[in-house]
Amino acid sequence: MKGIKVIEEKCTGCKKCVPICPFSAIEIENKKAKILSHCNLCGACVDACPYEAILIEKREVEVDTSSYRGVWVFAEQREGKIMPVTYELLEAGRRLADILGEELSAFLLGNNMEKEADKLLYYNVDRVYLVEDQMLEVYRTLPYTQAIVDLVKKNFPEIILMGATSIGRDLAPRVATRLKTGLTADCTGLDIDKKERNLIQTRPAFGGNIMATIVSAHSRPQIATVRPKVMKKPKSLNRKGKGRVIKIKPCFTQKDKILKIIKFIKEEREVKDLQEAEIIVSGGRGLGKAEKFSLIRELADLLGGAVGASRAVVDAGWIPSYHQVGQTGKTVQPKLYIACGISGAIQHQVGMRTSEVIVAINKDPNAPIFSIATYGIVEDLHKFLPLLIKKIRGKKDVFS
Amino acid sequence: MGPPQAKKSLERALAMGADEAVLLSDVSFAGSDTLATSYTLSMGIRRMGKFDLILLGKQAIDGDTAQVGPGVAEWLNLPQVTYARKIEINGNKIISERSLEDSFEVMETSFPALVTVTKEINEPRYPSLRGLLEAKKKRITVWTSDDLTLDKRRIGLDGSPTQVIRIFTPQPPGRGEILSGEISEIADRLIERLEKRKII
Repeated sequence: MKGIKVIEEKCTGCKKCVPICPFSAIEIENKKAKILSHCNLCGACVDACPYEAILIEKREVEVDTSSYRGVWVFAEQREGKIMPVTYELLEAGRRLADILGEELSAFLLGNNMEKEADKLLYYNVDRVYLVEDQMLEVYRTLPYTQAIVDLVKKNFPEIILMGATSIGRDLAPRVATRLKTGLTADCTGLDIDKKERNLIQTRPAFGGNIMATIVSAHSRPQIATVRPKVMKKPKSLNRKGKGRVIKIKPCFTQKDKILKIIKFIKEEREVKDLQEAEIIVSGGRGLGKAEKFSLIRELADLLGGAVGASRAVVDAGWIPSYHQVGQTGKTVQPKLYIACGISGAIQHQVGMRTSEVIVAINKDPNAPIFSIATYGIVEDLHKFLPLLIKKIRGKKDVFS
Repeated sequence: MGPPQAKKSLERALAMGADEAVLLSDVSFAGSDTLATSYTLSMGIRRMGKFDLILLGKQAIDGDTAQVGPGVAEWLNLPQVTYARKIEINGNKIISERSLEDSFEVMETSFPALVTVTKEINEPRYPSLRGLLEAKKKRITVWTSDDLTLDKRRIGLDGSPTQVIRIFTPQPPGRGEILSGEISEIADRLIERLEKRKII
């Protein structure tokens, strides 16, 4: 296998690397580890080997990383309003910039956005790059990509953070590919390796049951997307900080005008409900069959909450995908999250673990969901939920 | 693009009605991140020749990054529509519905273009018996790195700016309270706790 090798003199055939490999790509042959061809070069075995007998060789392409300085946050706007995820990223970006001892900048693309740009100054930024043009009023991939790439090539930021929204996830890979630089999607943790000035990016990996830490050591800028509601929302300052707005007029070529947006239609109210709901009742495979979602709906209605679901039941077609909570679904942060019959794989946990109070109902006491639950109930949900519904309804009737 | 066993997926694609199937497979592709993957795919597409429309799923189910679609579009210099839940062809235009968080946009694009689709796009058909038989007659072309005019610095591990430096199972944040007792008592305790926190 190219790129990875087992140093046979060091390998003792201890087999520690075999179960660690997420791809089952290691076998023991003649008491030595053998790397199979479907190895993904993820490096899990390198860390696991007690004898430093596994080596991944990577040719390092030297890029002068030192000319890139400062942390940038993409200020995403829709219909002229800055999206809340921007403020969450500014809070995270401030922390990273302070560790590096660099400036924090926001960049905002739109048309007639001066007032909104001003709002960003209440969030401890040093600079706001305001790029205004009629072509940027509504998000479109190509004009946005060009405007951002031009801005980056003039100012050389070392880190760019963007919201992992339907816009950020469309835009970030386009920008990163044009700059031929590293991009990490849906980070749940961000930190700095101060010595190397690398952004330490942590995200769920390989289907979401393990976490991976990723760096882009030899390319700049380092770009990461972060989902809404994963980072803490900051409080705004009482007055404007010392930051200033820098206005920029972009320059477009004809090629950017290919795509046209014919209509913009607001709908799918239920999706919004899920992300804004203060209470979410979620159902998983433990429900047994699709019809049993009526129990989840009943409890959600009773509490004035929304209905969520795990990936397993969405994939099984029990409920439409806009109810899905988790890595491939929505990230939510309600006051109360009730997980019913959901085992709680990491893929699900990353979508709901920042909820204020988590109640888990599952008959398997070893279900991973209990490790993050505020209150755990090891019972059969088919018995417990009807009882809970009855008791809550009883209380409500007394007061009404 | 994938290891030799990815032929299985292509066999199914042929049985479902694809006319041609190409597998990009080479040990030097291992360790590719989304930048190297999208580069390699784009070079495979170039080698295949002229095209009107490139379709991809919105994201893979392992990495979940959704970065390869836009990456391929960038390498090939194409307009892109991501998260499409509906596509129609109207003369020489592609009309597609792109899903956003709480809304959708209807987009018009000219050919050639790249579109990534969500699962709402359709219900995949099953391969027909005839399709299965015909698929047996078709061959899957395999191209290695030598068959493509690749810049070797852009593929595999060397062409991947992102690098996984650690993989770990997250520490569970200390267990909460397990409510035990008789089932009716548990329900009472739960309600009591939620009321105390002024949640219900």
